[in-house]
Amino acid sequence: MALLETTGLTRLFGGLRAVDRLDLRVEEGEIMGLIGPNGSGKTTALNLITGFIKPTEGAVTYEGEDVTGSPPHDLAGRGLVRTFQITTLFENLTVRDNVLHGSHLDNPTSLIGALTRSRRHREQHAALDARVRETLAFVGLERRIDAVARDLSAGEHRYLEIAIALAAKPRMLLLDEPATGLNPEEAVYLMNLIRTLRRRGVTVLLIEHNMRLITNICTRVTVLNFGAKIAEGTPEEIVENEAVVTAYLGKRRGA
Amino acid sequence: MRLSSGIWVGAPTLVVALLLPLVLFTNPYNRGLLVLIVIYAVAGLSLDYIMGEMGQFSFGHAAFWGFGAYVSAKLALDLGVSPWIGFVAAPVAAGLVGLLIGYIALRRTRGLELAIVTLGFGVLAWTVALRWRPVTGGPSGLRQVPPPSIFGWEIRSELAYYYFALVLLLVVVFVLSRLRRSRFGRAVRSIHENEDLARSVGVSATKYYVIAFAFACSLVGFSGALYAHHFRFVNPNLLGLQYMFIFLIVVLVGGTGSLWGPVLGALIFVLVSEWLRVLQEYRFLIFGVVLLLVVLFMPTGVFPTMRRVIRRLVERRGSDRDANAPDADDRADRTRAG
Repeated sequence: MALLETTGLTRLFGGLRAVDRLDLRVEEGEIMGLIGPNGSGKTTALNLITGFIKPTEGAVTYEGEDVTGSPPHDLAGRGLVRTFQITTLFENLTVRDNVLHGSHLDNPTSLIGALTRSRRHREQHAALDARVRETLAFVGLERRIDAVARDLSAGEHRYLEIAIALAAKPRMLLLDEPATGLNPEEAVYLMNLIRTLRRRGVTVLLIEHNMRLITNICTRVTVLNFGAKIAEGTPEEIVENEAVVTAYLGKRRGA
Repeated sequence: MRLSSGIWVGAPTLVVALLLPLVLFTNPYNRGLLVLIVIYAVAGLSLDYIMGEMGQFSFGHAAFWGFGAYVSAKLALDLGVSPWIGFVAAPVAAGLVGLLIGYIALRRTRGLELAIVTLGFGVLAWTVALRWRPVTGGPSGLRQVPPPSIFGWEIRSELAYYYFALVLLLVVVFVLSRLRRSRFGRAVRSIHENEDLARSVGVSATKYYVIAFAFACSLVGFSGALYAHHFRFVNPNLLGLQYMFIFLIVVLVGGTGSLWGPVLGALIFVLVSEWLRVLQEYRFLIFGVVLLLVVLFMPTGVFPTMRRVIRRLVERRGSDRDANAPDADDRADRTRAG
């Protein structure tokens, strides 16, 4: 059974088929790449899967259950967590508070506990704070813990974004162009981060333009063009695929 | 830093607040002004929960204030219920109505649209209070609202009521400060900061915003009950735009997003308003100008500006090297204003 599956997923914007009868299967433990030219519907597909927009037709199945049209916070509660194409942080808060605010699902403290600062509350909060530090250490931002998010570099923004998503304890993580704006070293760091996540049992759906990243870490790749799937396979198969090359570069003269 | 600065500001403020009616505000009229400051401070804090914590705006906030006042007054006058029960019933009733209005308004609307929806509700509530004579007493309202009493002793004097209300204000400030760092407070804050991101990490934006809105309504309903049992009358104007503007001035002049801001704002408003009493209705003309100047030159409000200036002075004395580096609060304040 696939962890995530879409069947006939379709979204119309007026007359435009932004996503067109998309069938996607992501197995547990995979790093599935989702690529395609600009405007091919990758982000729309991700928005449909995570409940940020509702599909015109088709279904999304997660953990074997139909979750079509479920709101994002419900899906996050079930372990389906996303990041955003344009870096999305709590910009005015510190790095620590960013992850702390992202830990909503992982925060066991009660309202009464918070008001009375009971011993139990203090213990719970200390444990939560330790988990926040752990997460920040994992993405390499521990030294920046007291910095305000807006002051971070482009690379650090991306790592913090991933840290916030990890604070929600994802079983499946959907990353929307996480390497955008990263220099080559930072991209390599990100790549290793995603690999480590997979080893820890997180399934990943990765939208990316950086083909080096895709071919290096994805187990399988799905290619979209004009909202529809035009190819699927291992990275090696994809780069050889005639339809994919045509979609990206146009038809070969005389072909 | 946070804790120590809180104590350094809080302890002297409390001492001054306790001494004020004994030293400066010695006659009943002036002590009545102190009571008003405390009541406006609670109302300002509740409005700032919507403005500072939620980053939203409700133009119907005074309607909940007046509603709370009516609920408590009505219970005492018609059913002979003790004001103490009124102090509980008013926030509960205002909170329930807030839940309903919030649920209708906050599922879809934010920002300016929410301001307009709540304005519509506020005007509607005011009209009902004005017209529904059998229940609300019409334009003249209800009189002879009884004061609360402890062990058979009525809290009737301005001095006693001031201390009584001050204790409740402290409780409100305490609860609000703790609430900020609770799971609930963080969820509300995260929606304010970035709603999409908050939803993506599992925060139900609608649920938390509706509850937060209802909480603010409940708090202002409590402030309204405090008003009713001290000034001992209620009328439809309590639900109207005049008080809405007063609360707005209290929050904006004092400063949003800080607990001392609305308290200071209430103090400034009541005192300045008193000095300008001779001008009667033209007072609001002056307040318009004051508000304009504050928004232009102290966009974060008086309290955050003061705090920043003091911190900068302290830092400059502490280490000249870092004097030019703006601190995090400084930046956060400026951002909020933008």
